[in-house]
Amino acid sequence: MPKRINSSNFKGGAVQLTPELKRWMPPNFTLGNALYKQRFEDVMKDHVPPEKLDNYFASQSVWDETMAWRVSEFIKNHDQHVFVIIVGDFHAAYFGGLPDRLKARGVENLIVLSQVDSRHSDQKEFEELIDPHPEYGPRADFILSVEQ
Amino acid sequence: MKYYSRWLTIFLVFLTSAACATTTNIYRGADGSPSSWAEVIDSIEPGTVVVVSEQHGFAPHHENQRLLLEKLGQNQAIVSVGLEFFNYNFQPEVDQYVKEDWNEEEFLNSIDWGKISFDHYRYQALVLEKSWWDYFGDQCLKELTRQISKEGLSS
Repeated sequence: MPKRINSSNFKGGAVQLTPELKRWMPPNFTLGNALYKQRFEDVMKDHVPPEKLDNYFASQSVWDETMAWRVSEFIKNHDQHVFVIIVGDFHAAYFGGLPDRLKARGVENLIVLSQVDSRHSDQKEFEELIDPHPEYGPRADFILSVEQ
Repeated sequence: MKYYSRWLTIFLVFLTSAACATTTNIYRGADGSPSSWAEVIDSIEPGTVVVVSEQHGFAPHHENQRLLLEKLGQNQAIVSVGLEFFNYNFQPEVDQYVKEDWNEEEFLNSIDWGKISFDHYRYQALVLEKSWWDYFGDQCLKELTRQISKEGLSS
């Protein structure tokens, strides 16, 4: 995906792209789900003007959807492979971004490994990283926690 | 020569990361109970997509990715790898880099690589050397030789 597709191409979450850029969009593009958006807004609200949040979320969703599209197409045609996709943790955690879009695109065998850094966490912070979240549910199938 | 220098670099990065080792413990997401690499690997069968996350540039996370890929390889898996930072429209550039036809600096410039050190991703990218060819047509040969290696000629 060209870097020129970014948050400036989205107005209120709606895609406004030139024909040249539009051809790079993943087919059947769908925005990330409501819980993912809620987490996104919680993280980004202090860094992005409120009126821009929808645009940034749409941009984030394009990343997820593009990766999900490419990976799902690959694994359909290479069902003896294991496909490992390496992404930033926000895309993976709580099955909300990339995992959600992979499932939507028909990927049934999916394992999510979320990596965290708990070297400086107290007990409460550690449990928040590892234990299922009361609203978002489990963070991943497995959590790899870097500890001292 | 370039081939050997690449792998020497990977080896040195490995030694450096080993020298300042941290401990990674694995937990089951369902209930937070302790797990292990063995359980992770056992849960992965052919046809599985594995999403593995990272804090970009955090060395222990990249080391865990290397371990995962090694363990999958030891488990006879045919592994293909996707990196978030390799946009799919740069596939020809990635292919050329992996085939050793391009030096790393030119490659990184050509794909608009960002500010995070590529040292963290070189292993994950070059492990494609094993799997990437499958993408382009000799998958049958790979699977055949793998099957013969495992079961013998009678399989």
